[in-house]
Amino acid sequence: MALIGTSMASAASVKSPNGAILTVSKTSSINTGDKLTITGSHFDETVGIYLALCKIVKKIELPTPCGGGIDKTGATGSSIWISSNPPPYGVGLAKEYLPGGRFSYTIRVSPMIGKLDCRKIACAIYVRADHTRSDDRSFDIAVPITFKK
Amino acid sequence: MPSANAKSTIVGGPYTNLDPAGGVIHLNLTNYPKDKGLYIFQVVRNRASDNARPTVINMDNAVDVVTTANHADVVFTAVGKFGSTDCSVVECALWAQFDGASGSYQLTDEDQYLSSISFAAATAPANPADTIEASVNGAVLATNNPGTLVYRTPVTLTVKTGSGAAPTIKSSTADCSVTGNLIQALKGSGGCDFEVTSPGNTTISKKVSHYPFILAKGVQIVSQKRNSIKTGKTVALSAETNFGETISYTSVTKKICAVKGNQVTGLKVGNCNLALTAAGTSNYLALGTNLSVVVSKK
Repeated sequence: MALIGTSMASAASVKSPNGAILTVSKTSSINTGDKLTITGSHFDETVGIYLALCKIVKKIELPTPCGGGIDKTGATGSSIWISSNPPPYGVGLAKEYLPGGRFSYTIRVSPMIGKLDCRKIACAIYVRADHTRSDDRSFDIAVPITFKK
Repeated sequence: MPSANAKSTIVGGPYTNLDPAGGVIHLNLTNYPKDKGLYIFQVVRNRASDNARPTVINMDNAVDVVTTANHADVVFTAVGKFGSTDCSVVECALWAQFDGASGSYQLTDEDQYLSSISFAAATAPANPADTIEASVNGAVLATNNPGTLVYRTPVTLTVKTGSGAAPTIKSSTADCSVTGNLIQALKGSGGCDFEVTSPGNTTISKKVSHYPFILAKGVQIVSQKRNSIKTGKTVALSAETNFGETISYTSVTKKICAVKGNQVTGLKVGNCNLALTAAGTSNYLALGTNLSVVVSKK
């Protein structure tokens, strides 16, 4: 993973070995309820992904827990499922990639993931392969963020 | 020599779940008369008594076990129907008696039912399969000759079914997607397969056809809203291609216009010629094109 500099204050981008770039508009001194704009480009459009705030884990581990968890219903709004070719039950729930493997979403974040407090533990905006290939760690990308204490 | 009351011992099988088109039964005869032949018939069992002679006999598949036959393995082929007899409706059986050369038309001690027989349910005659014709832009697709699908360039897959039933389309791989009858490639290389299914109807059977496609790289497009500019003015041109790649602009006519990033400034009346480039990927080609912007007097 390569950290890419951005021109926006405290924004950060991470480029994965497969060329996907994940950018978060603000990564430090985040307040509860702040909106973060998360953009991606050059993602593999054949692979569905989840976008969520998660506890930082070792690279070989499934990022979990995450805010919102697996959002099959699309009800929580705190994680986003992006897939251009979802299973039948995901049609209408998953958001399609834009051409070029792009996406851009704004999410409102809270430092709490269940009982975990991201003001006390390390957290990140994660992208990971969706539940159709949840064991595949090659699509994980993390942009660490910190909340105002 | 067998006694008057002795019967040949005939065992074998199978007697059940036989193929109605021709169920093969193997019979083994022992203790049979060495000087007389036997008929084996498929018959309708006569339940008047245990050994009541049958009155409905299928002569077409009768086997005459002559004295020189291989009594260890007599092959009999039973059928589900003969004449007006349907063995799924009436009780059919195998019947043995002396053959014609041995007094078959007399009641004899060799008369015996070997076993009742039954058949597997006859398969209902299949309805003819539906027909599927798939086309793109009027060109009929072949199931054995791949079409070409360009990355992120959706096309309408038009499907006609002979039955008139509404077909369904699905991509067999994750490299392509289907929305209704709109298909598109999510990669710029490799291949995709689309499965088209017609459910058929009450008289026409379901039909599934597969249509392969080879995937090709997409072409980046630049949408420009400006094609003119006043001298001394600076305007923004498109920053990205349709695939999100940053466009690099270079002024070919530096005395007419200057460019910085995607901002172009008119310097002098004339045609401002710009060279546009953008990076490509494995999914789409690099951009390399020109743009002309008219610079007019302020």
